[in-house]
Amino acid sequence: MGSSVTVRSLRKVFGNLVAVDGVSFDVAEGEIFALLGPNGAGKTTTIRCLLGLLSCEGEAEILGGRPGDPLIMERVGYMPQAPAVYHNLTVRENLEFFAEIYGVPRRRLDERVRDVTALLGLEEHLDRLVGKLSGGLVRRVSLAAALIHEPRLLVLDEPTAGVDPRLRARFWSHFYRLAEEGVTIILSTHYMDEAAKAHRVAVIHRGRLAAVDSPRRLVEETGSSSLEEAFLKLTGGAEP
Amino acid sequence: MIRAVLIRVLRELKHDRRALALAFIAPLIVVLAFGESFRGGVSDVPVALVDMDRGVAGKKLSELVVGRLKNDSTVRLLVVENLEEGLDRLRGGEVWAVIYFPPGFTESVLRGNASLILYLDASNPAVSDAVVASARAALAGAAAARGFKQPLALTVEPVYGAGATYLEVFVSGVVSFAVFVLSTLLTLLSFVKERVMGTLERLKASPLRVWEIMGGYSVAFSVLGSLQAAIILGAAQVFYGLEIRGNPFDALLVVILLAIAGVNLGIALSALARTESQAVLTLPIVTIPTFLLSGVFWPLEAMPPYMRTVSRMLPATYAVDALRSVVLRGWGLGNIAADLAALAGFIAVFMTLGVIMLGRKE
Ligand SMILES: Nc1ncnc2c1ncn2[C@@H]1O[C@H](COP(=O)(O)OP(=O)(O)OP(=O)(O)O)[C@@H](O)[C@H]1O
Ligand SMILES: [Mg+2]
Repeated sequence: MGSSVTVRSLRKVFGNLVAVDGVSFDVAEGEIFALLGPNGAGKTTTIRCLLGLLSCEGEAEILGGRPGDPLIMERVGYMPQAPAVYHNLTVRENLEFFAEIYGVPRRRLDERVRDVTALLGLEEHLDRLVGKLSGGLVRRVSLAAALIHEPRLLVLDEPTAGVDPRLRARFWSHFYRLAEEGVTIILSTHYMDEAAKAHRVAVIHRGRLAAVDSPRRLVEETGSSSLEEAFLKLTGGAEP
Repeated sequence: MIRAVLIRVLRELKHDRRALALAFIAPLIVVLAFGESFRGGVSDVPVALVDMDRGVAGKKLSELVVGRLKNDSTVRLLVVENLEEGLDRLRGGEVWAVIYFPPGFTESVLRGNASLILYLDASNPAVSDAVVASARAALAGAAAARGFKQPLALTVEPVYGAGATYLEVFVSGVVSFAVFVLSTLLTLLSFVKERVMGTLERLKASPLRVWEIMGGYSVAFSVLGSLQAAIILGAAQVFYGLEIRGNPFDALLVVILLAIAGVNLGIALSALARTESQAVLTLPIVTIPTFLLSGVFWPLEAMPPYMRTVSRMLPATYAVDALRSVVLRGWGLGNIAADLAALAGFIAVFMTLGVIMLGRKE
């Protein structure tokens, strides 16, 4: 399988803060790749560099092209960390908007809206204003907007934050199904149990990659009994 | 407890330096705009002078009148060869009036039935009234100097805007002001919201191109602006008998160009105003100069000449002029081409700024 995302020596400096420092990794087609790290580790910044939303040093190639190229971005689904949806629109209107800018054909629109709302349990809320929904529901709408156009590459910044456990399990079974269809998924998370479900995990700490491997190997190679222990060892244990 | 709130409010302001700066700059701009625009009366109004007076025995009474007009700062005289040329300039919008001394002016003065003729563009009463007053004063002065008991008469021939009411004059200003302010500010607020909510980030990660975003907003506000204009003009027609002398579709074109200029200015401004408070603080910076300096109510001719330079940097100025020309002068696209070109120029500049601002990456 070809590689879907290639990142080489990414570096981003804000003022005198090095937010991302020489990050390199490859993600294969159909792989679920987790960025695991504490608050402020540089996960969001790495994602924004990768998608061409920030000007960063280093190289990034996604789906065989340059980030920012409309022909490439058409096949990318991005869910930002902030619930970036329109609060003055209904759930359906939001989804229709994102479907249209990603070029979903009109005849497929209803079917796509139906599919993603069923997946995310949003059916009863379709005609409600997003501004009136609970926080967790808004995040689901945001994820729905990233899935609506059946992207080949999904980039999800903390997709399951604020989502209840039952729904989280449902998300993950969907992620696996997508991965089987060849969709590449990059997601960031703070949760160990979630990272443990990914095919590979990049442990990111203070802008640097501490390790990149499968969860099982990370545990083995650090001589730990759990991913959590491995994570603590890799990020310097109790050290702040 | 009050103290805690007070300190929090002040601290927030301290961190939002830009809002703080705007809070002080905005009133300064407002007071300067007010002060400078109301500094004097109408001045420097271009007026064509056609002096065909033959005189009597080598003496031309017209010169006595012209001498006085030359010393009057209200008008700026432009000497032309004949009446035709003067009227051409009037119809071309170059001058507000033509002062015409017929060949027998001196003779008729001596006979006691003087007839100085003032051809007038009365589409803006504030300006034309001042010109008429100047002409009367010059005639009265000349009569007094010669010891005539009767003042010399003035015949006013309105070429445009005969019987124009103040409403008819102001309605163009109201339309321009409403359309420009609405399109600029709503776009600005909308973009600030997109930035704050993170949807702009999402759009930037989508296949949408920057010009498609700007195009969408532009079309939306063109429609909104057109509706606004239709409502204002329609109400003026129904309730106050406004008569649109030109083609209403020409007026619509002006409104659409103005709305597009406003949208793109709003997008460019959204890069300067990143928070809602900053956006709100730019409100007076957009509205007050437009209100005072674009000729909405107060004609440019009533401002000191250097302030007219500032007026020429405001898009609404050209829209007010073009709309008034269509509504009161009955002009067509050919006559307002310069105004339309100016509006197109603003659109080009604001769009370029907008593309740069939107495309800019941290
Ligand atoms: N626009 C910005 N300007 C200045 N500093 C920034 C900016 N964005 C991020 N940073 C800084 O860069 C560092 C990395 O931030 P980033 O958002 O990438 O972390 P993260 O791993 O996503 O954290 P979290 O888990 O809290 O989302 C942080 O120290 C943050 O303060
Ligand atoms: Mg983050």
